[in-house]
Amino acid sequence: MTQRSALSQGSAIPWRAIAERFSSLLLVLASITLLVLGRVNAPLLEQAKTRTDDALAPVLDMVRRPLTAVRDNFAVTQGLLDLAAENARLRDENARLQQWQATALSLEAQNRVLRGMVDLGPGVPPVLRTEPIIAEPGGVYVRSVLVAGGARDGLNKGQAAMVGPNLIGRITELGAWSARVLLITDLNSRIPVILEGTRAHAILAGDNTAHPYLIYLPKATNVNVGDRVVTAGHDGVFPTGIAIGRVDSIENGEIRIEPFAALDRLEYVTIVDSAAQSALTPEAAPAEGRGFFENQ
Amino acid sequence: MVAQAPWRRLDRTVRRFLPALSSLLLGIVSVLPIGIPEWGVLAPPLMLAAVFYWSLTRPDLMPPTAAFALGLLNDIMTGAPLGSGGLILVLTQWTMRSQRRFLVNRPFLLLWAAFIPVAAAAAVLDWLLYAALTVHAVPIGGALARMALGFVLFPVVAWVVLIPTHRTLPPE
Repeated sequence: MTQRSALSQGSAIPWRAIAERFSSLLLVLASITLLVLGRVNAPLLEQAKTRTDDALAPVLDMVRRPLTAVRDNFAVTQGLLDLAAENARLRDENARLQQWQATALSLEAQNRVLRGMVDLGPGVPPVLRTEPIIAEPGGVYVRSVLVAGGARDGLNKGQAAMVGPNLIGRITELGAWSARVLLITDLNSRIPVILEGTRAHAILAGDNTAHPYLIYLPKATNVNVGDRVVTAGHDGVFPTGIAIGRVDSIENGEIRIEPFAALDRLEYVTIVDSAAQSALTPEAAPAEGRGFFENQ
Repeated sequence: MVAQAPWRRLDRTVRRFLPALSSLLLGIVSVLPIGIPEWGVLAPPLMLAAVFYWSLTRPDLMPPTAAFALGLLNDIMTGAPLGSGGLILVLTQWTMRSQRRFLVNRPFLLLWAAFIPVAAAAAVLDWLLYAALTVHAVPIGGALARMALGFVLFPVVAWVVLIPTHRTLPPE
């Protein structure tokens, strides 16, 4: 009896090792299959991905909350310390913004008339939702973030994601209560844009660096460093005229854009849809309008 | 005594999942938006560190299937090409399992040093996979910086999460 159990134990060890090696090999093959399938865009795979994102979203959101609370409290304490200076600055900014608002309102009225003349749709992106970001890229190669809002909140694929008044990307994967926003810096990101000075159309392409570049720009276009780049919004979903960034460098015909939004520190994103009702554009705010929407 | 037995068994079963759970938790930590500039891109590969540790110390509780599942979850969380994390973690588990006799029950410094080639190999493999999938050679510097950060933080992760968890595990 004892001899038999010793024997079976002796033979059990190599079997287990072989089985483990075999399963490792199988799993390596499975990974490679998944990578290839992901390349050919299998809808079933994407569904499985968004389902898992949906399942993970509440967990990620729960873990994020105390962190955000600590960070916000820190910001509040810091804010209390220089309240007087902040007040003075805000009063100053408010006066300036009121001027801008008056200008914007008259321009909007004028614009509406002109748009009516040339038969253009409403040009201003209405805000759909503002959602917290629950997962950052977590890797060098992917420039996308996971957002705590999905199809149930009225979001849709292709909608534009903004921080403040500036574009950061668009929704590429959609779950029931989570969505993935592909940032404009990602290798796969292609956004139709207009160079504001010349009205020339181009495509803004990401390449995983901090500065996306312009492709398909007409050759004769006169581009200068500092020119603003805004969305062209050809497809009807994507709003027209959202600020993206400004021309940062022109080298060997390669035009690189410096995004207005701080893409390396995202906390909340605003999802907009041009199909919804118009509101006054925040685009005209001073100093690129950064911080305009921050308290949303 | 008899009534306690099922509870004890349940307790043991739950504890056997702790290595996988701690790895998942570390994976979640590395994608949290904590507000540090560039954190999203340079977040250290904490899940890799965890799978590395468990494959060496308790391979019975970190089988290839667990490494694979963790890798897939990480890919989905980060938005990476599905399968790349699975491949890297299964290979890590495989390699570390075969290196056990050189690294188990040795000083922590040796374990830490062994993480250098693993993290570097993972960075290179990750880069190769991405280059092959996108037919685009992106700079590898970011990946190496990320791995270097992972290496620097490895003792912290080990002392705060991995070693305390290890102590609560039932014997092999």
